[in-house]
Amino acid sequence: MKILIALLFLAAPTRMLHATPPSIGLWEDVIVVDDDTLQLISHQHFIFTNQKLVAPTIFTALKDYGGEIDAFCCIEVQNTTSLSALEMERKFSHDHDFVQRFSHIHGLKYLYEARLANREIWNDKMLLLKGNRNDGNDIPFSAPVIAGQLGFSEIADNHFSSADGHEIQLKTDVSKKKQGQQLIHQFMIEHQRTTFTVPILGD
Amino acid sequence: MRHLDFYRLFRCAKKKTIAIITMAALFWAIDTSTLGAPPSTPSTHSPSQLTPAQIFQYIGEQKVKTAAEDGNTSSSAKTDKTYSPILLEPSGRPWCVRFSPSTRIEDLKEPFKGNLKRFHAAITRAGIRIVITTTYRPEERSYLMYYSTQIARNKESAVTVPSWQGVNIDWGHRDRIGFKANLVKAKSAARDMMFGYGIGSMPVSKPGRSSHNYSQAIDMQLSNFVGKTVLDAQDKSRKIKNFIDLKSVGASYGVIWYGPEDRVHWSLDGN
Repeated sequence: MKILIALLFLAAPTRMLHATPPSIGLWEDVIVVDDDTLQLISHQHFIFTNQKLVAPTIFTALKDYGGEIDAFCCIEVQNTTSLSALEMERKFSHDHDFVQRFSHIHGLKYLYEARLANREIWNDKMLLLKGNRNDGNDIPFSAPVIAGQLGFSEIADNHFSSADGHEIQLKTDVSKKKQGQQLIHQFMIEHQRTTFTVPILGD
Repeated sequence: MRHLDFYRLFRCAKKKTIAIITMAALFWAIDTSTLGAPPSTPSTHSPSQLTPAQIFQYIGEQKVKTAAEDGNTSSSAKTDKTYSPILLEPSGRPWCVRFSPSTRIEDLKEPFKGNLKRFHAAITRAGIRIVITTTYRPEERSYLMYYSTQIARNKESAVTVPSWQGVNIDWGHRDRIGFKANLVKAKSAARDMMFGYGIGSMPVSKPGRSSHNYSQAIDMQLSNFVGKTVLDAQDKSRKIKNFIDLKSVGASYGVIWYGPEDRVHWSLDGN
């Protein structure tokens, strides 16, 4: 009995460490363009999350290629005051595409203003994606994110470990709906599933 | 010609008979006003050569311009709301063959062109079949693709589409006499264009927001690749078991696959 109690006592901190799964969500790199003039109004980064953020957080973006995942390090949320998606839609109502897109992102409760993390910590994938772009020629981008800085930039299969040791699975499927095609992102963190959907970006 | 503000004058003339009298006055005014004053720009048509239809065209443009000035004072280098009063051509399938996309690797820009040439050579040597559908796509084509889709999908009215420099399209199918838009014809023509471009249910990006516009992307279909051996950029032999293996070889050359949602799209940065 004593041994059992001792084991439980020892296991408690480990359980606490793993108690809170990392925040997951979606990075939206948005190019807001005026419908009337087709001029760039604003270039914004947003992160949708499934959990409320209580402190500034660094996220790694992930892209599932169907059997291989690329990781883009990193994007960060500095201001933890959550935004209202509706308010953003009103703010950028001059861009019909922006409103349409934002109103069709489902499954994530919180929205934050984000920015690209300090370039010094970018990995090779992020350097490739954002290293040579500026506002003038930038292309919108969207990818699922997970809190923390992951230690890989490419991994085979759909499984990996988060920065704090959680076992994660990410799967992205393309679904065809009446209103248009959309992506279904599904995270599995130790048997807990989170699914969210986002419209496909145009080419 | 602009200082006479024909549109405001025309707006006052609501009845048909008054409109005819106004038209006569306009012709007289154009002729007298241009006797000693050459056009402001070399590209501007001489007002004395305008047909009645062109004058109605001009009135319509002034209407659009006034509406735009009321709500928004910004301007764009690409969108051109002050172009000269020339006849516009109604939207429809014939537009699909204009501003054609390139399928030539030569029309891409460095560094992507060099990267792709090496990747293309490697996969061709390995016996993989390649069909290139687009390399460079002019912004004008993106403009036509985007707005035909927007109109066909009821996301934009044919009469509110901004113009684009060098694309003299009449999205509204305006009546040449009364200058009234025909929205039924406009939508049908936009749908024709959308089908002509082969867009289907795919989303379309705004002009200037695709890597194809910057000659840094290619759409290509690859087939017959399973079991082939390809040399990567480090001259290492790679056996191709699935598409992910091809993605990996492409990346070694700096040709990055976009992903399953747009299977044919490869670019310099994966976007």
